[in-house]
Amino acid sequence: MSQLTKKSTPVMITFIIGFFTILVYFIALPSSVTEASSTLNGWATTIVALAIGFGTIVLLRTHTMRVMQRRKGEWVYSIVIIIGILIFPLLYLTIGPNSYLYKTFYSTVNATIGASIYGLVLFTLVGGMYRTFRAKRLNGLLLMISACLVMLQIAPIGDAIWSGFPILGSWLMDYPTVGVYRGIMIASAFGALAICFRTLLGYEGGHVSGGGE
Amino acid sequence: MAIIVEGRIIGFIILVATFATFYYLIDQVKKGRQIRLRRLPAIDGIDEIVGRAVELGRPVFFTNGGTGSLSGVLAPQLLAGVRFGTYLAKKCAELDAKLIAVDCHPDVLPLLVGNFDDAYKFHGKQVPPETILYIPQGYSYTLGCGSLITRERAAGTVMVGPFQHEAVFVAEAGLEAGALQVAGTARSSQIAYFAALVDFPLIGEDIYAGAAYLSEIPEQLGTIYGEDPFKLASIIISLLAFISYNLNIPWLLNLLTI
Repeated sequence: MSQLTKKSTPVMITFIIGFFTILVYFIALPSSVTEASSTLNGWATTIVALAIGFGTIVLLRTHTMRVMQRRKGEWVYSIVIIIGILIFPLLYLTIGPNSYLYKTFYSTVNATIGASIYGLVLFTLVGGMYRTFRAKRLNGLLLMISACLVMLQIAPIGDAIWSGFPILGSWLMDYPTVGVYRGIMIASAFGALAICFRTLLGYEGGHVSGGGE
Repeated sequence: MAIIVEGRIIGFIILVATFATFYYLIDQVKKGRQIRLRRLPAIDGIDEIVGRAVELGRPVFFTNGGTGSLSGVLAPQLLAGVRFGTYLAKKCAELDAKLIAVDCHPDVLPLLVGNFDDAYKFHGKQVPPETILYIPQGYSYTLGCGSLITRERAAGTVMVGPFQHEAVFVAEAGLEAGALQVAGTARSSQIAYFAALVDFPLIGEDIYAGAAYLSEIPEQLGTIYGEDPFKLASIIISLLAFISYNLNIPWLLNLLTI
């Protein structure tokens, strides 16, 4: 297949499917056409599932290489990852997701590790928040004052100190914050439209790269 | 029977108008019309990061956010992230800087692999092994990015895409490693952290404008230029809505909902 066909075929598919999806969203079409659009969405899910499979293969290959090379300080962890990747689908396919063993593995391994990581991440998050709210610059000062007001709105102690804190915090969240968020969202929406337009017409190119051109 | 679905007429008009404007401006740029755009400091920041990495002999870190997929509403942000990653890869290939890229989206991974491959081949090189790492979404991604930045003592970080809670964690890790940081997201809840923690923040729509700028295709600049009249129209419509609500003129508000 020539390089031109390699690039133009995905661009054409993107254009046809993108244009069709936009039409179905805006134009009142017969139910058979809207059903076809739903089927297309189902295809998207299948493609994403295939991509997940690709990601898993890349992960397995990377860690298998590490184990084979006995890379210092890393290969033992790679074995744990490989076992983790293989054991859950294996248990799912053999004894099912409702079996005692599968549930035990999930709750004693996956859930506990998740909770432990959350505990670790939390301390760094607090450090990050501290740096964020330091009043080194004017925007940091404003962020710190707003954060303090919102915290005093939510925490019961705020109301106990002064009954105006909850009102001030609510006002801050309901008016300036929402206003700014909407401004950013509107501008972002036009930016997203621009990138969608470029993707539909093949100007963007990021989704059809590869092959070393 | 109505041709346009009820409640989507205004949306349809805006879509057609924006697409027509983009097409017209791209055509104008092709014909040689000069468009002057303000250069984003973050774009220069990326060049500075790569130069710094070469001088210090330390790697550059790239990631494109810890959430979303190509089949969802966050896809434009992911595509913008891919564009930033590709530009960074091209710069790293040119100056022989070590690049570590982390992706947690299995559907975006092939795009990154393909684009990085192109970027390195452009300079007659191969992508070094383990340049792109896949770490699944969630806390493993957050911790993975943080520990890579700290352990490898990244000279700089470029983080563009749909970020959630990991934004503050990864930016904090970069700060601790003394990295020069470029970061941007269109997720409004995380913008404040990037604005406060990184050297070159990209706020909301900046990531899309930056992506078009970095594509090095002049026609793409037409789309950035084309956004401005619609932003101005949005401001005017918002003001009209504010006035009509407060002066009790319901027809204007109803007009926007058709």
